[in-house]
Amino acid sequence: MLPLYLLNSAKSQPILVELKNGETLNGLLTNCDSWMNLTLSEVIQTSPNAEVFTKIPEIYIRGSHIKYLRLPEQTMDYAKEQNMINMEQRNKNQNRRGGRPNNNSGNFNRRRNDNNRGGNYNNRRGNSSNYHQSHGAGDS
Amino acid sequence: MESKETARDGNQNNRDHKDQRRRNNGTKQEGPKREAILDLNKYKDTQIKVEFIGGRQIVGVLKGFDQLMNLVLESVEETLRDPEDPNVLTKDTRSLGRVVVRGPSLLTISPLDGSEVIDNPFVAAEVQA
Amino acid sequence: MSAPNSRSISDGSSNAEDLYLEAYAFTTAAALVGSVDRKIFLLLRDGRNLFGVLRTFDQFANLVLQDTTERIYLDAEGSKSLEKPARFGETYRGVFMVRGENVVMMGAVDIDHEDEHLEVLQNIPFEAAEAELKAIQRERVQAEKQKTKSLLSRGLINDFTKSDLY
Repeated sequence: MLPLYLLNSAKSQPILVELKNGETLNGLLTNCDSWMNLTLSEVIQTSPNAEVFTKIPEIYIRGSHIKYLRLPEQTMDYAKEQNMINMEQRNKNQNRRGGRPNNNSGNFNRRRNDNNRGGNYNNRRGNSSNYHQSHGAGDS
Repeated sequence: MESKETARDGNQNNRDHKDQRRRNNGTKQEGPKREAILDLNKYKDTQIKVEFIGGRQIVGVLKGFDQLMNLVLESVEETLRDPEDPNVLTKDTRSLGRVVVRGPSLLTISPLDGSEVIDNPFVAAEVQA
Repeated sequence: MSAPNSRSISDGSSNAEDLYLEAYAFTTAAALVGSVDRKIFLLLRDGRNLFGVLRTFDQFANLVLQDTTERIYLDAEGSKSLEKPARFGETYRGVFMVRGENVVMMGAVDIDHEDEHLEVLQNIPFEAAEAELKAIQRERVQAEKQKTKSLLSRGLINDFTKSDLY
Protein backbone atom coordinates (compact mmCIF):
# COMPACT_ATOMS: atom_id res chain seq x y z
CA MET A 1 0.00 0.00 0.00
CA LEU A 2 1.74 3.15 -1.23
CA PRO A 3 1.45 6.42 0.70
CA LEU A 4 -0.70 8.00 -2.00
CA TYR A 5 -3.14 5.09 -1.93
CA LEU A 6 -3.34 5.46 1.81
CA LEU A 7 -4.10 9.13 1.34
CA ASN A 8 -6.80 8.20 -1.11
CA SER A 9 -8.51 6.01 1.46
CA ALA A 10 -8.44 8.91 3.93
CA LYS A 11 -10.92 10.87 1.79
CA SER A 12 -13.70 12.69 3.67
CA GLN A 13 -11.74 12.27 6.89
CA PRO A 14 -10.23 15.10 8.93
CA ILE A 15 -6.53 15.62 8.25
CA LEU A 16 -3.86 18.14 9.13
CA VAL A 17 -1.52 19.48 6.45
CA GLU A 18 1.62 21.42 7.21
CA LEU A 19 3.18 23.30 4.31
CA LYS A 20 6.87 23.97 3.87
CA ASN A 21 6.37 27.58 4.94
CA GLY A 22 5.02 26.39 8.30
CA GLU A 23 1.39 27.17 7.57
CA THR A 24 -1.02 24.48 8.78
CA LEU A 25 -4.43 23.53 7.41
CA ASN A 26 -6.99 21.47 9.31
CA GLY A 27 -9.89 20.16 7.27
CA LEU A 28 -11.72 17.30 5.62
CA LEU A 29 -9.87 15.76 2.70
CA THR A 30 -12.18 15.97 -0.32
CA ASN A 31 -9.82 14.93 -3.08
CA CYS A 32 -6.19 14.22 -3.94
CA ASP A 33 -4.25 13.37 -7.09
CA SER A 34 -1.06 11.55 -7.98
CA TRP A 35 1.02 14.70 -7.35
CA MET A 36 -0.35 14.92 -3.80
CA ASN A 37 -2.26 18.09 -4.71
CA LEU A 38 -5.18 18.22 -2.29
CA THR A 39 -8.56 19.81 -1.91
CA LEU A 40 -9.85 20.25 1.63
CA SER A 41 -13.22 21.44 2.89
CA GLU A 42 -14.23 23.14 6.16
CA VAL A 43 -10.68 24.29 6.66
CA ILE A 44 -9.01 26.18 9.46
CA GLN A 45 -5.81 27.76 8.22
CA THR A 46 -3.13 28.73 10.74
CA SER A 47 -0.39 31.17 9.78
CA PRO A 48 3.27 30.11 10.18
CA ASN A 49 3.68 32.12 13.39
CA ALA A 50 0.41 30.61 14.75
CA GLU A 51 -1.10 34.07 15.24
CA VAL A 52 -3.72 34.31 12.52
CA PHE A 53 -6.49 31.74 12.14
CA THR A 54 -8.74 31.76 9.09
CA LYS A 55 -11.87 29.72 8.44
CA ILE A 56 -12.13 28.73 4.77
CA PRO A 57 -14.98 26.69 3.24
CA GLU A 58 -12.70 25.02 0.68
CA ILE A 59 -9.08 25.15 -0.42
CA TYR A 60 -6.81 23.70 -3.11
CA ILE A 61 -3.21 22.95 -2.09
CA ARG A 62 -0.15 22.29 -4.26
CA GLY A 63 1.30 18.90 -3.38
CA SER A 64 4.89 19.94 -3.94
CA HIS A 65 4.71 22.43 -1.07
CA ILE A 66 3.50 20.05 1.57
CA LYS A 67 5.87 19.25 4.41
CA TYR A 68 3.81 16.52 6.03
CA LEU A 69 0.27 15.32 6.63
CA ARG A 70 -1.25 13.93 9.79
CA LEU A 71 -3.97 11.36 9.21
CA PRO A 72 -6.58 9.94 11.57
CA GLU A 73 -5.59 6.86 13.55
CA GLN A 74 -8.14 4.56 11.82
CA THR A 75 -6.80 5.32 8.33
CA MET A 76 -4.28 2.49 8.40
CA ASP A 77 -6.91 -0.08 9.40
CA TYR A 78 -9.41 1.25 6.92
CA ALA A 79 -6.87 1.09 4.11
CA LYS A 80 -5.94 -2.45 5.10
CA GLU A 81 -9.60 -3.44 5.05
CA GLN A 82 -10.09 -1.90 1.62
CA ASN A 83 -7.04 -3.71 0.41
CA MET A 84 -8.37 -7.03 1.69
CA ILE A 85 -11.72 -6.49 0.01
CA ASN A 86 -9.97 -5.69 -3.25
CA MET A 87 -7.75 -8.74 -2.98
CA GLU A 88 -10.73 -11.01 -2.35
CA GLN A 89 -12.56 -9.52 -5.27
CA ARG A 90 -9.55 -10.03 -7.46
CA ASN A 91 -9.19 -13.65 -6.39
CA LYS A 92 -12.85 -14.27 -7.12
CA ASN A 93 -12.49 -12.80 -10.57
CA GLN A 94 -9.44 -14.88 -11.18
CA ASN A 95 -11.14 -18.10 -10.12
CA ARG A 96 -14.18 -17.38 -12.24
CA ARG A 97 -11.95 -17.06 -15.25
CA GLY A 98 -10.09 -20.26 -14.34
CA GLY A 99 -6.94 -18.52 -13.21
CA ARG A 100 -3.58 -20.18 -13.53
CA PRO A 101 -2.27 -20.92 -10.07
CA ASN A 102 1.47 -20.67 -9.39
CA ASN A 103 1.98 -18.82 -12.60
CA ASN A 104 3.53 -15.82 -10.95
CA SER A 105 5.92 -17.68 -8.74
CA GLY A 106 7.06 -19.67 -11.74
CA ASN A 107 7.93 -16.48 -13.53
CA PHE A 108 9.75 -15.19 -10.54
CA ASN A 109 11.94 -18.26 -10.26
CA ARG A 110 12.75 -18.22 -13.91
CA ARG A 111 13.85 -14.61 -13.73
CA ARG A 112 16.04 -15.32 -10.78
CA ASN A 113 17.73 -18.21 -12.47
CA ASP A 114 18.47 -15.95 -15.38
CA ASN A 115 20.09 -13.64 -12.94
CA ASN A 116 22.22 -16.41 -11.59
CA ARG A 117 23.64 -16.90 -15.02
CA GLY A 118 24.73 -13.25 -15.21
CA GLY A 119 28.37 -12.91 -14.22
CA ASN A 120 29.03 -9.63 -12.55
CA TYR A 121 26.13 -9.22 -10.21
CA ASN A 122 26.29 -12.82 -9.21
CA ASN A 123 29.83 -12.39 -8.00
CA ARG A 124 28.97 -9.41 -5.92
CA ARG A 125 26.00 -11.13 -4.46
CA GLY A 126 28.06 -14.15 -3.56
CA ASN A 127 30.54 -12.05 -1.64
CA SER A 128 28.15 -9.98 0.37
CA SER A 129 25.95 -12.97 1.14
CA ASN A 130 28.96 -14.49 2.78
CA TYR A 131 29.31 -11.39 4.80
CA HIS A 132 25.73 -11.64 5.94
CA GLN A 133 26.00 -15.27 6.73
CA SER A 134 29.03 -14.91 8.92
CA HIS A 135 27.26 -12.18 10.82
CA GLY A 136 24.14 -14.27 11.13
CA ALA A 137 26.21 -17.04 12.64
CA GLY A 138 27.61 -14.62 15.19
CA ASP A 139 24.13 -13.50 16.19
CA SER A 140 22.80 -16.94 16.92
CA MET B 1 14.09 -24.43 -29.61
CA GLU B 2 15.17 -21.81 -27.19
CA SER B 3 13.78 -18.98 -29.29
CA LYS B 4 10.43 -20.73 -29.65
CA GLU B 5 10.18 -21.02 -25.91
CA THR B 6 10.91 -17.35 -25.34
CA ALA B 7 8.33 -16.46 -27.96
CA ARG B 8 5.74 -18.48 -26.09
CA ASP B 9 6.79 -16.80 -22.89
CA GLY B 10 6.33 -13.46 -24.52
CA ASN B 11 2.78 -14.33 -25.45
CA GLN B 12 2.05 -15.54 -21.99
CA ASN B 13 3.38 -12.36 -20.48
CA ASN B 14 1.29 -10.34 -22.84
CA ARG B 15 -1.80 -12.22 -21.80
CA ASP B 16 -0.89 -11.75 -18.15
CA HIS B 17 -0.65 -8.02 -18.64
CA LYS B 18 -4.04 -7.90 -20.32
CA ASP B 19 -5.57 -9.91 -17.51
CA GLN B 20 -4.01 -7.57 -14.99
CA ARG B 21 -5.48 -4.58 -16.72
CA ARG B 22 -8.91 -6.11 -16.93
CA ARG B 23 -8.77 -7.08 -13.31
CA ASN B 24 -7.79 -3.61 -12.26
CA ASN B 25 -10.70 -2.17 -14.17
CA GLY B 26 -13.10 -4.70 -12.79
CA THR B 27 -12.32 -4.10 -9.12
CA LYS B 28 -12.40 -0.68 -7.58
CA GLN B 29 -8.83 -0.31 -6.35
CA GLU B 30 -8.87 3.42 -5.80
CA GLY B 31 -5.60 4.96 -6.83
CA PRO B 32 -4.71 8.61 -6.85
CA LYS B 33 -6.32 10.57 -9.66
CA ARG B 34 -4.43 11.78 -12.67
CA GLU B 35 -6.95 14.40 -13.80
CA ALA B 36 -7.78 17.77 -12.27
CA ILE B 37 -9.19 17.53 -8.77
CA LEU B 38 -10.45 21.10 -8.62
CA ASP B 39 -13.23 22.40 -10.84
CA LEU B 40 -12.43 26.07 -11.29
CA ASN B 41 -15.71 26.66 -13.16
CA LYS B 42 -17.52 27.06 -9.84
CA TYR B 43 -15.23 29.98 -8.93
CA LYS B 44 -15.71 31.81 -12.22
CA ASP B 45 -16.64 35.49 -11.74
CA THR B 46 -16.28 35.17 -7.98
CA GLN B 47 -13.53 36.51 -5.74
CA ILE B 48 -10.79 34.04 -4.90
CA LYS B 49 -7.68 34.23 -2.76
CA VAL B 50 -4.47 32.91 -4.30
CA GLU B 51 -1.28 32.26 -2.36
CA PHE B 52 1.98 31.94 -4.27
CA ILE B 53 5.09 29.91 -3.69
CA GLY B 54 7.36 32.45 -2.03
CA GLY B 55 4.60 33.98 0.07
CA ARG B 56 2.78 36.56 -2.03
CA GLN B 57 -0.98 36.66 -1.61
CA ILE B 58 -3.59 38.19 -3.88
CA VAL B 59 -7.38 38.45 -4.08
CA GLY B 60 -9.16 38.86 -7.40
CA VAL B 61 -12.13 37.92 -9.55
CA LEU B 62 -11.52 34.75 -11.56
CA LYS B 63 -12.15 35.39 -15.26
CA GLY B 64 -10.41 32.50 -16.92
CA PHE B 65 -8.19 29.46 -16.46
CA ASP B 66 -6.71 26.51 -18.32
CA GLN B 67 -5.70 22.90 -17.73
CA LEU B 68 -2.33 23.92 -16.29
CA MET B 69 -4.13 26.09 -13.73
CA ASN B 70 -2.88 29.32 -15.23
CA LEU B 71 -5.46 31.86 -14.10
CA VAL B 72 -6.71 35.21 -15.31
CA LEU B 73 -7.87 37.45 -12.48
CA GLU B 74 -9.38 40.93 -12.55
CA SER B 75 -9.50 43.75 -9.98
CA VAL B 76 -6.62 42.14 -8.16
CA GLU B 77 -5.44 43.40 -4.78
CA GLU B 78 -2.15 42.10 -3.43
CA THR B 79 -1.80 41.95 0.33
CA LEU B 80 1.60 43.38 1.21
CA ARG B 81 3.95 41.70 3.63
CA ASP B 82 6.08 42.90 6.47
CA PRO B 83 9.48 43.73 4.90
CA GLU B 84 11.15 42.43 8.05
CA ASP B 85 9.36 39.06 8.01
CA PRO B 86 7.87 37.92 4.70
CA ASN B 87 5.70 35.40 6.55
CA VAL B 88 3.69 38.17 8.20
CA LEU B 89 0.98 39.89 6.18
CA THR B 90 0.22 43.55 6.79
CA LYS B 91 -3.09 45.36 6.39
CA ASP B 92 -1.73 47.27 3.39
CA THR B 93 -2.70 46.29 -0.13
CA ARG B 94 -1.83 47.43 -3.60
CA SER B 95 -3.95 47.24 -6.73
CA LEU B 96 -2.65 45.22 -9.65
CA GLY B 97 -5.67 45.30 -11.99
CA ARG B 98 -5.74 42.39 -14.40
CA VAL B 99 -3.28 39.61 -13.64
CA VAL B 100 -2.25 36.36 -15.29
CA VAL B 101 -1.19 33.81 -12.68
CA ARG B 102 1.21 31.10 -13.74
CA GLY B 103 -0.08 27.71 -12.64
CA PRO B 104 3.28 26.31 -11.53
CA SER B 105 3.93 29.14 -9.07
CA LEU B 106 0.65 28.87 -7.27
CA LEU B 107 0.42 27.39 -3.79
CA THR B 108 -3.21 27.54 -2.68
CA ILE B 109 -6.55 28.63 -4.14
CA SER B 110 -9.56 29.33 -1.94
CA PRO B 111 -12.84 31.21 -2.35
CA LEU B 112 -13.06 34.50 -0.49
CA ASP B 113 -16.79 34.08 0.09
CA GLY B 114 -17.28 32.30 3.41
CA SER B 115 -13.72 32.89 4.58
CA GLU B 116 -13.17 34.79 7.78
CA VAL B 117 -10.44 35.42 10.31
CA ILE B 118 -11.37 33.78 13.60
CA ASP B 119 -9.99 33.49 17.14
CA ASN B 120 -7.73 30.58 17.94
CA PRO B 121 -10.17 27.64 17.74
CA PHE B 122 -7.72 25.11 19.12
CA VAL B 123 -7.35 26.76 22.51
CA ALA B 124 -11.11 26.73 22.90
CA ALA B 125 -11.22 23.04 22.04
CA GLU B 126 -8.57 22.29 24.64
CA VAL B 127 -10.40 24.23 27.32
CA GLN B 128 -13.63 22.41 26.56
CA ALA B 129 -11.87 19.08 26.70
CA MET C 1 31.00 -20.94 2.53
CA SER C 2 29.31 -19.71 -0.59
CA ALA C 3 28.14 -23.13 -1.71
CA PRO C 4 25.30 -23.60 0.81
CA ASN C 5 24.33 -20.02 0.29
CA SER C 6 23.87 -20.17 -3.43
CA ARG C 7 21.93 -23.37 -3.00
CA SER C 8 19.55 -21.72 -0.60
CA ILE C 9 19.02 -18.87 -3.03
CA SER C 10 17.89 -21.22 -5.75
CA ASP C 11 15.67 -22.98 -3.18
CA GLY C 12 13.74 -19.73 -2.95
CA SER C 13 13.30 -19.93 0.81
CA SER C 14 12.25 -16.68 2.49
CA ASN C 15 15.57 -16.37 4.25
CA ALA C 16 17.38 -16.50 0.95
CA GLU C 17 15.09 -13.80 -0.34
CA ASP C 18 16.14 -11.55 2.49
CA LEU C 19 19.76 -12.09 1.61
CA TYR C 20 19.01 -11.53 -2.02
CA LEU C 21 17.53 -8.12 -1.25
CA GLU C 22 20.04 -7.01 1.33
CA ALA C 23 23.00 -8.06 -0.77
CA TYR C 24 22.40 -5.18 -3.15
CA ALA C 25 23.64 -1.80 -2.10
CA PHE C 26 20.43 0.07 -2.84
CA THR C 27 20.92 3.73 -3.54
CA THR C 28 17.27 4.52 -4.18
CA ALA C 29 14.23 4.70 -1.94
CA ALA C 30 14.00 0.92 -2.35
CA ALA C 31 16.70 0.71 0.33
CA LEU C 32 13.92 1.42 2.83
CA VAL C 33 12.30 -2.01 2.42
CA GLY C 34 14.41 -3.31 5.28
CA SER C 35 13.01 -0.67 7.64
CA VAL C 36 9.33 -1.33 7.00
CA ASP C 37 7.40 -2.24 10.18
CA ARG C 38 10.37 -1.17 12.32
CA LYS C 39 10.64 1.75 14.64
CA ILE C 40 12.55 4.56 13.01
CA PHE C 41 13.76 8.04 13.82
CA LEU C 42 13.23 10.94 11.42
CA LEU C 43 14.88 14.34 11.42
CA LEU C 44 13.03 16.86 9.28
CA ARG C 45 14.49 19.96 7.69
CA ASP C 46 12.57 22.19 10.08
CA GLY C 47 14.30 20.46 13.02
CA ARG C 48 11.50 18.16 14.13
CA ASN C 49 12.42 14.81 15.67
CA LEU C 50 9.88 12.08 14.92
CA PHE C 51 9.87 8.52 16.23
CA GLY C 52 7.44 6.01 14.78
CA VAL C 53 6.89 2.73 13.00
CA LEU C 54 7.54 2.93 9.27
CA ARG C 55 4.54 1.38 7.53
CA THR C 56 5.01 2.25 3.88
CA PHE C 57 6.98 4.39 1.45
CA ASP C 58 7.19 5.09 -2.28
CA GLN C 59 9.80 5.96 -4.91
CA PHE C 60 10.03 9.55 -3.68
CA ALA C 61 10.78 8.31 -0.16
CA ASN C 62 7.47 9.69 1.04
CA LEU C 63 7.09 7.92 4.36
CA VAL C 64 4.12 6.83 6.45
CA LEU C 65 4.76 6.50 10.17
CA GLN C 66 2.33 5.02 12.65
CA ASP C 67 2.19 5.66 16.41
CA THR C 68 4.47 8.63 15.96
CA THR C 69 5.81 10.70 18.82
CA GLU C 70 7.46 14.05 18.37
CA ARG C 71 10.27 14.90 20.76
CA ILE C 72 12.05 18.16 21.45
CA TYR C 73 15.48 18.18 23.08
CA LEU C 74 16.57 21.28 24.96
CA ASP C 75 19.71 22.30 26.81
CA ALA C 76 19.71 23.19 30.50
CA GLU C 77 17.30 25.97 31.44
CA GLY C 78 18.50 29.39 30.38
CA SER C 79 20.86 28.04 27.75
CA LYS C 80 20.25 29.45 24.30
CA SER C 81 22.09 26.75 22.42
CA LEU C 82 20.99 23.27 21.35
CA GLU C 83 24.23 21.43 21.89
CA LYS C 84 24.01 19.42 25.13
CA PRO C 85 20.47 18.15 25.75
CA ALA C 86 19.45 18.33 29.40
CA ARG C 87 15.69 18.34 29.03
CA PHE C 88 13.14 16.90 26.63
CA GLY C 89 9.44 17.11 25.91
CA GLU C 90 7.42 14.70 23.84
CA THR C 91 3.91 14.23 22.59
CA TYR C 92 1.94 11.58 20.74
CA ARG C 93 1.14 12.51 17.14
CA GLY C 94 -0.39 9.38 15.56
CA VAL C 95 -0.12 8.73 11.82
CA PHE C 96 2.30 10.88 9.85
CA MET C 97 2.81 11.04 6.10
CA VAL C 98 6.04 12.89 5.42
CA ARG C 99 7.06 14.04 1.96
CA GLY C 100 10.52 12.62 1.32
CA GLU C 101 12.10 15.92 0.32
CA ASN C 102 11.67 17.25 3.87
CA VAL C 103 13.67 14.48 5.49
CA VAL C 104 17.25 15.18 6.53
CA MET C 105 18.04 11.87 8.10
CA MET C 106 16.39 8.63 9.05
CA GLY C 107 17.54 5.67 11.07
CA ALA C 108 16.36 2.53 12.81
CA VAL C 109 15.72 2.77 16.55
CA ASP C 110 17.00 0.08 18.88
CA ILE C 111 13.85 -0.44 20.93
CA ASP C 112 15.77 -2.13 23.74
CA HIS C 113 17.90 0.93 24.39
CA GLU C 114 15.90 3.84 22.97
CA ASP C 115 14.95 5.29 26.38
CA GLU C 116 18.35 4.98 28.03
CA HIS C 117 19.57 8.42 27.02
CA LEU C 118 16.35 9.98 28.32
CA GLU C 119 16.96 8.75 31.86
CA VAL C 120 19.54 11.46 32.49
CA LEU C 121 17.31 14.13 30.94
CA GLN C 122 14.54 16.06 32.62
CA ASN C 123 11.08 15.42 31.17
CA ILE C 124 9.18 18.66 30.67
CA PRO C 125 5.72 19.32 29.18
CA PHE C 126 5.76 19.35 25.37
CA GLU C 127 4.00 22.71 25.09
CA ALA C 128 6.66 24.38 27.22
CA ALA C 129 9.45 22.75 25.26
CA GLU C 130 7.83 23.81 21.99
CA ALA C 131 7.47 27.42 23.09
CA GLU C 132 11.07 27.54 24.25
CA LEU C 133 12.36 25.97 21.04
CA LYS C 134 10.35 28.42 18.93
CA ALA C 135 11.88 31.30 20.88
CA ILE C 136 15.40 29.95 20.34
CA GLN C 137 14.74 29.46 16.64
CA ARG C 138 13.31 32.96 16.31
CA GLU C 139 16.42 34.36 17.89
CA ARG C 140 18.62 32.32 15.59
CA VAL C 141 16.77 33.56 12.53
CA GLN C 142 17.09 37.11 13.79
CA ALA C 143 20.82 36.71 14.36
CA GLU C 144 21.30 35.17 10.93
CA LYS C 145 19.40 38.05 9.38
CA GLN C 146 21.85 40.50 10.95
CA LYS C 147 24.74 38.38 9.77
CA THR C 148 23.34 38.28 6.24
CA LYS C 149 23.06 42.05 6.23
CA SER C 150 26.61 42.71 7.38
CA LEU C 151 28.07 40.02 5.10
CA LEU C 152 26.14 41.42 2.18
CA SER C 153 27.55 44.87 2.79
CA ARG C 154 30.96 43.30 2.32
CA GLY C 155 29.86 41.55 -0.84
CA LEU C 156 29.52 38.14 0.80
CA ILE C 157 26.64 35.68 0.94
CA ASN C 158 25.36 34.13 4.15
CA ASP C 159 24.39 30.56 3.37
CA PHE C 160 21.35 30.27 5.61
CA THR C 161 17.75 29.49 4.80
CA LYS C 162 14.97 29.92 7.28
CA SER C 163 13.48 26.56 6.42
CA ASP C 164 16.66 24.75 7.47
CA LEU C 165 16.61 24.65 11.25
CA TYR C 166 18.00 21.21 11.90
